[in-house]
Amino acid sequence: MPFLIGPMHQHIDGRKELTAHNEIIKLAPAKELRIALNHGNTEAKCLVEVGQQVRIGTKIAERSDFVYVPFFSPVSGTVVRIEKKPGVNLRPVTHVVIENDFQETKEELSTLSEDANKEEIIAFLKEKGIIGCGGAGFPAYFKYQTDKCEILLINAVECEPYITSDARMIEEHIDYLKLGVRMLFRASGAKVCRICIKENKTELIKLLEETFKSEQGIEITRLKDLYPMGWERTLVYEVLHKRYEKLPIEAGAIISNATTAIYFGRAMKTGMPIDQKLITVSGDAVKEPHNVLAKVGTSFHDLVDACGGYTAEQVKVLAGGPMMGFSVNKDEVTISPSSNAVTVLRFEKEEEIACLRCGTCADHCPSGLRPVNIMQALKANDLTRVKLLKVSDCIECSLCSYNCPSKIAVTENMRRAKRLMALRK
Amino acid sequence: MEIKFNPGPNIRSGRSTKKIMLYLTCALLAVYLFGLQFYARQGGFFLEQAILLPLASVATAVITECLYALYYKKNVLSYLRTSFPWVTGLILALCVPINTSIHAVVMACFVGIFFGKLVFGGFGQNLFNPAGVGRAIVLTAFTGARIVDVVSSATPTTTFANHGWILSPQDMQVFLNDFGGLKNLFIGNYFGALGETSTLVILVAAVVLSLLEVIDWYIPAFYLGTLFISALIIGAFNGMALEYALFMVFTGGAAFSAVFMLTDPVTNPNTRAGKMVFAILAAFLTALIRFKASLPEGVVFSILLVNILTPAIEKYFDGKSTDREKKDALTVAAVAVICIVGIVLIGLSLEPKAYTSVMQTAAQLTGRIWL
Repeated sequence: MPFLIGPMHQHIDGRKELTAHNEIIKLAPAKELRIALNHGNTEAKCLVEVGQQVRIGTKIAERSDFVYVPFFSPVSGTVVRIEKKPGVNLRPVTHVVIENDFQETKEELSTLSEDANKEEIIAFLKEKGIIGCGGAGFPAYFKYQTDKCEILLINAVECEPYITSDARMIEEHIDYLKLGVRMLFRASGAKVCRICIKENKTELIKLLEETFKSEQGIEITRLKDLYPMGWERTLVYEVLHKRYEKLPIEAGAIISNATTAIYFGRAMKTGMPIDQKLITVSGDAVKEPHNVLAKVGTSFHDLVDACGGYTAEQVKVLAGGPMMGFSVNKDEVTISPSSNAVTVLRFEKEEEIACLRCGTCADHCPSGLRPVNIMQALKANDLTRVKLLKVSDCIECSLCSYNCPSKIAVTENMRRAKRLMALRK
Repeated sequence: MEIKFNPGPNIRSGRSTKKIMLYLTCALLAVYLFGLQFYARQGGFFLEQAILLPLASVATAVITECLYALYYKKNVLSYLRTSFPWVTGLILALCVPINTSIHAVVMACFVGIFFGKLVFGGFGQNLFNPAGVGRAIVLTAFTGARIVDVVSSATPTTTFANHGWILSPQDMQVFLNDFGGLKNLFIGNYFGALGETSTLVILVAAVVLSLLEVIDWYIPAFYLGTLFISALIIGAFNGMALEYALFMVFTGGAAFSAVFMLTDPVTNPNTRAGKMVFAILAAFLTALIRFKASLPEGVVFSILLVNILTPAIEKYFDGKSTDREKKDALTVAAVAVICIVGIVLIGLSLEPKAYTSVMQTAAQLTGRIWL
């Protein structure tokens, strides 16, 4: 009931026109590619040594605790260095540096037949390291290991401002999308599949309707242009009117990103893992915003260069969009299979004034939290109350800071509270 | 070229506290202009008061905060830009009776700003509405500091309060006619506080401010709604439902306080359900004070009293909103029902007294033409 607890979302000017229609720049692979071996905050185990020859598709690292995530070489060449350097989250992480020999020799790459059953699909997703391309990078296979799925939601919402790479991927690879969605639908065991997209992307909706009209059980669902519509909880609530505790499967839903489905379709046909990504390079401090197709391991610097370079003296460089993206302090960090954007904005300091306790942050929190109260508890160092207020449910969507009329760094306070809670455990 | 680190988010909405305060100031000035045109037509002493009251009040507010900033060695200009003292000054000037003496307003404004706001730590920290504190001071400590005049002293609310808040339907008609009828009470061309008389202008301001996201529309809606519904029932028992209900919301600063004082985010709870309960309780207290304390201006005390309840209401509604949606809805509904029933029960205990048309006598006495 939005009347009683607030809307829990907000329309934000997406500025998507900057990159929605211009050409895609295909960036030539660099001489040196640096692959960061982190999956979220977990470091993967390196499987190569300095001097070793690698080809496209050679497994160079893997994470294998409760999830399995392989890392592949995007080019052929030689491992020249293995070094610890800051990654996009500013923590030091192992990087495998591969010198490109420009031969583009490939490993023997397995493909998947269109008749594959659920088990085969899941095994293939796992082997190819197909991860969620919406930003979090959670391995896709993991969600499909269930028989409780009633509905499959294909997430093509792309609610983060500036980013258009999902939309452009759908336009460019509609056949891979069709194949990928059909196979994921089979693997999910669901009766219905809905492709969720914002209602203002009319051309894309037309293309999707045309493509999927012959497919049984697959529908297109139009959603309002609100942030964070692409977040799982918000999406499930808006489409199914259900809330859940931990995972969407509790509401009978599996959610996969449209780009994930496209990479899955591509892997089925060509055997290729995610070796390259379409990255939206946009913002008000980059000369010519474009979508750039680049190899995994390409530095932010090269991407921005491909778009004409920086246009301001002081800039903020973000891995991702302006709301949830990580601010980086060096542009030598590189893109990973889960990257989808580099946003460059002019640096302007906001003047913070006293909290009015107006509750706008609480009205808009998609998790239903009360950031104003959490900040109060944090200030009083009352960690018991911070825990009671469930700060761990915060997804750092930044809507609280975005809406704060006093320009307080509310989200940063939520992060501090979460860090303190983590230390306390 | 330099890359700066800045934790997200890296875009912000255009909505800012400074803009909110600017819009609020404009709305208050619009309400003031309406009061000014009425008192300009009265001329002489009233025009003087209409000009001097806000000047004195705003000047006192600004000077008090300047001294505070100087004492704490803050940059005075940047301090004032983020503390907005003129809003308090303006609200106070608009809600005190027009015949309040200037020295009383200066004192009230100083007390409101200093003890109502600065001692708590300044903007954003105060428990009580500073203008409400100032208004209460005028009403209690400076009752003598009014320039007595038969016409301007007899506002609709004071007159009605003197008759114990209920009249027989026939007397009600005579009474309303004394003040130009309900239509005039709505438009606001009658003596009272500078900014409180025109419910029409205040409601238009409320709509605009709600659309601009300056105030939460449901606070005035729940406050005036509770007063209206309960008065409608009381009125119906006395044979005059609508007149009585409209009179209750049109007069005594109910609309002004609902729109400009109860909506102060600093002193009301920070959750939607909390704000609704806050507004309903304020309406209950307003009615209680009007009926039982026989104070014509029950509104201001009800505001200060619910301000005290704000922390308790916040504590009750604490936690994750999605976890307690049903409980919140039930609480709001229960509080609304209890408060409306409460007001009705108190209202039904009132006995109508005989009414003599004071206005006609007054007009004869002073020779002033009414309206």
